[in-house]
Amino acid sequence: MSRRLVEAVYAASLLLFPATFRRRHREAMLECLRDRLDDPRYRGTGRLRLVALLVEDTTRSVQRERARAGYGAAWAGWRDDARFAVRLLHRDRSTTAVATLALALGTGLSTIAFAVVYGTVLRGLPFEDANALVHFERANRSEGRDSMAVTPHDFVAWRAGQEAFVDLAAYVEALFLITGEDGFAREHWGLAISPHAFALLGVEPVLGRVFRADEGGADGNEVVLIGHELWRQEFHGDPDVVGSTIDVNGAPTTVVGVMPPGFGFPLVEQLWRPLHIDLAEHDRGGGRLDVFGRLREDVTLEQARTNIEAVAAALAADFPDTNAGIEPRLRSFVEEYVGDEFTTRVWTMLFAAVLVLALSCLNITSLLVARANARAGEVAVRVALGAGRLRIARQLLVETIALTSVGGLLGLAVAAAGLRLVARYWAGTSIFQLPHGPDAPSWWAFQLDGAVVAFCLVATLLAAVISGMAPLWHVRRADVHSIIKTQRADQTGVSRRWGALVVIGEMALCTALLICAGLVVRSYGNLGRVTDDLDLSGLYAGRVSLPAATVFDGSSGAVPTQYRYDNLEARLQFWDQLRLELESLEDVGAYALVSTLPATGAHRTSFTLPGSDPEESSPSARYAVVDPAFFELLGVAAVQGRLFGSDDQDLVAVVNAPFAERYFPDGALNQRLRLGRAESESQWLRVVGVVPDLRMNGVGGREPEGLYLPHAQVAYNGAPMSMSFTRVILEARGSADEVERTLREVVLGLDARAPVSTVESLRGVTQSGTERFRVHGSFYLLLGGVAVLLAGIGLYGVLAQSVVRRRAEIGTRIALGADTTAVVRLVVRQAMGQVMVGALAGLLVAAWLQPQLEQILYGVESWDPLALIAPIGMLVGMAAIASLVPARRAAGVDPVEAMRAQ
Amino acid sequence: MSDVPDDFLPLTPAVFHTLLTLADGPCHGYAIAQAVEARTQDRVRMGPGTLYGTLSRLVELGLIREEPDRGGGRRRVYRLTATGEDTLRREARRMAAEVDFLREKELLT
Repeated sequence: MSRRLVEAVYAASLLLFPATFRRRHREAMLECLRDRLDDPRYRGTGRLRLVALLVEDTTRSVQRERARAGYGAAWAGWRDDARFAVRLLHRDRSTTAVATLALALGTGLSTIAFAVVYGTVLRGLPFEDANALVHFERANRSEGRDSMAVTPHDFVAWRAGQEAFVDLAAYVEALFLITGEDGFAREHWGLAISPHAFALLGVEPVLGRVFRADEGGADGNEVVLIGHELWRQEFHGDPDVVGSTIDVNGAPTTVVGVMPPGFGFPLVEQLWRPLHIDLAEHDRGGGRLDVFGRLREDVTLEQARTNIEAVAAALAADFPDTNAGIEPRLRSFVEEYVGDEFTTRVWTMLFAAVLVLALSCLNITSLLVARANARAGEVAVRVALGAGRLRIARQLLVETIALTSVGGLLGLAVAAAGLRLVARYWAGTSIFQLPHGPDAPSWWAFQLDGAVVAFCLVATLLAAVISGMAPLWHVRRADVHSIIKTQRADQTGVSRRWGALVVIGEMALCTALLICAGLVVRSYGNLGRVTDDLDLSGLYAGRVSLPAATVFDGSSGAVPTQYRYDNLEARLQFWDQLRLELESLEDVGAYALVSTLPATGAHRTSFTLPGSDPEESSPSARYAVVDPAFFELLGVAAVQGRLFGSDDQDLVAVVNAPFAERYFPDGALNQRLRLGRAESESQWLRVVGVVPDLRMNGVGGREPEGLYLPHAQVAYNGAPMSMSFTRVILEARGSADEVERTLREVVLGLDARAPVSTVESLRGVTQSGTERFRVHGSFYLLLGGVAVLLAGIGLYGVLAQSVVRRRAEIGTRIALGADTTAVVRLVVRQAMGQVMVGALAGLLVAAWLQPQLEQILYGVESWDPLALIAPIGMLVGMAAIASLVPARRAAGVDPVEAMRAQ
Repeated sequence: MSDVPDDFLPLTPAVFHTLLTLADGPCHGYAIAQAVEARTQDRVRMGPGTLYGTLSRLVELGLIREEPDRGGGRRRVYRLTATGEDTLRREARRMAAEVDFLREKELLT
């Protein structure tokens, strides 16, 4: 417990002493406390003893001093209020139950949503002062490019010229091939990273050490750092692995250290080797790096941006050929890796959950107002007997807090259970497409930590205060005289107006929420179309790579020399051999080699259309290199034209529907296009067919335009693909494990060092994307369901009260000859009027939210008629049901009794 | 001779030890608490509330006097008055008498 906290709390507790005593001794007592805080006996765990001493001392001496000053004990009144409130909770069980349920759902759901926002966007990386980490890219606004990698030359110049950062470091993705104890080679993505990067991050290894500055350069001593998870998985957590030599990319490599559990950098990567930049290897303007830096303590991101911009401007002046128009683009590290779209998505989720919380507050308000009305007589008598309004207000506040605290605690339990589910379904893979692929950052956490619990408590307290306001306002307005006379507080019309306000407010919130939830859920439903409808039973997919060609280091792009597969022809030959082998297998039916599986992210290429302006930047699209059997295996038919044949003579391409729509609105068949930019010399390809959208940018990825190229033509059609790996789709009997073994054995026969990935069912691969969206969509469905439930309870409560209030009036009507239908109609009409006004207000709220929503919707118009009509229809139906019970009760009023009660 | 009636005795532990401490000479608040706690091995503990409650009561009764620190410090020091010393003596006599009773009964040797 911090010293300042103890001091502040103690200073506040002095307010309990009588004023004269406090004025006289306050300073000396605080001084005395400070002396004790300085006392070594009360440091460390002794602090707790001190707090215990202070609590005991204050409790006793406050009572003594107050008694001497002639006051009652400070908390006697509060204690009585609390006892009274608890008794009331017990007596009025239906109110307690409804309020507790409403609040538990409201706070629980919003706490879950907040935990997601906090764990993914706000908390950041679990390093010391992680928010000072900044990611760098380059932009060239005149060319309309806002996200380009940093070149090695620029990185070195920026690092030397900057003053705003502690330091800059660079990294680049690299594929590592590790030969395990079983003799099979496995691929792992990792990084080549500046040796000083770990110190800059502030992360220490759990075993061994991080890189030395000069390590792993040209001296030929290869070293590697491994992540905790990889250490457990590949090396069975053996501590002796540190310092030992393993086979990485075919070279003996020393493991220097193991990083802590949960550490993956920048996202989930578990392998790092030192990156050394030799500028002589790179053209100025060539190569690509990711760069990050740590801000100096006293520097803001804005100042840092100005600083790097000045360095970039100087570079542009010195090297106009490569650097003219190049600007640095600085974003916080979390922003870079989480991205705007995801951020909007989780904040929207929180916003929707807070709407539900607001609904539950309205419900509690209406319950409390009803109770205040029922107790108006009691309150009025107290006022008449001399109780101050403040005293009464205090009691109402204690009641509200007692009522809400149960709900808040239950909400915390709801959140704890919900977060366990969230963690289970969302762990490992990101819910949505992130800027850097489908992996969820290892630093995401969905848990009830301090900030999340604090959110829940604050939300509960706010709910208590907000819903407690209305009854307080009621007390303020109460006219003691008339209340005591009639024993009722509701003759003034105040509570009728409250009732209408509550109904309209609830309907508005509920409509807005249902419209938004409906749009999101519907747009997610669209995502699974096509790929989920494919018949993929019995299909498996795995990835096969060429050995050592996988030593891919984007910093130079160089493929090692003296290498069996150093030319495209040799690589293609390997794949032809693989085909022959697969052909001969008995257990394997049809198969296809493809560069990308459906519903996962495909590579991107720029392309040129005939007659396009060479000055303008070329468009780009996703592309995949596939065997003709690919479409057959998936059961995909051409929407227009035909698919690839085995004997295509001229160079051909098949485009997907979004591509055809966007680039060939007048019909795609027999149109021509060329891969690469306008200045490239590649051959013209003829479009022979159009196929449905198979989500070439992954499920939920934007810009799904894509084209397919036949595997057989890859040597001539200009596809920018090295063909150093492929994915194999197999139609096979048996389990995924059996198929994996078959594939491994086949590949082992061709080249013992070629790695084969885990084989999975193709259905699992294509559905995992839509599955995650379904989980997220179901949160909205849950919110919508809870909203309808709460609105229904609220409407029922208000109407039931209004029937009680209007008993005499209704009785008179019945006595004057109104029949059952007329009475029911009276009550229902009143309800429906308010419901319609509320629904209209909700439409306006939804219209206001629309621009925010557009960013996260897929394939639905934000004014999708179904999403608009369905919620309103649902609400009206719910309102009809909720109003029917009170209406029937009204019709059953006995006129004689009702009028006698008057 | 004393304003403090005999029924003020016996003194509470806090009062007794405060007076006892001040018998050695003037002291400021926290030093009193420290001395008391040291002497009684924490059996009698004087948090700020108890300490200043006791001190203000003793000042009102005239058993101690409050004066500014001669050393120039901001703290107030407390000094035993003649009445206070007398009270402490009477308490001592009362306690001695009690001890004699115990000895007579051979409960204390």
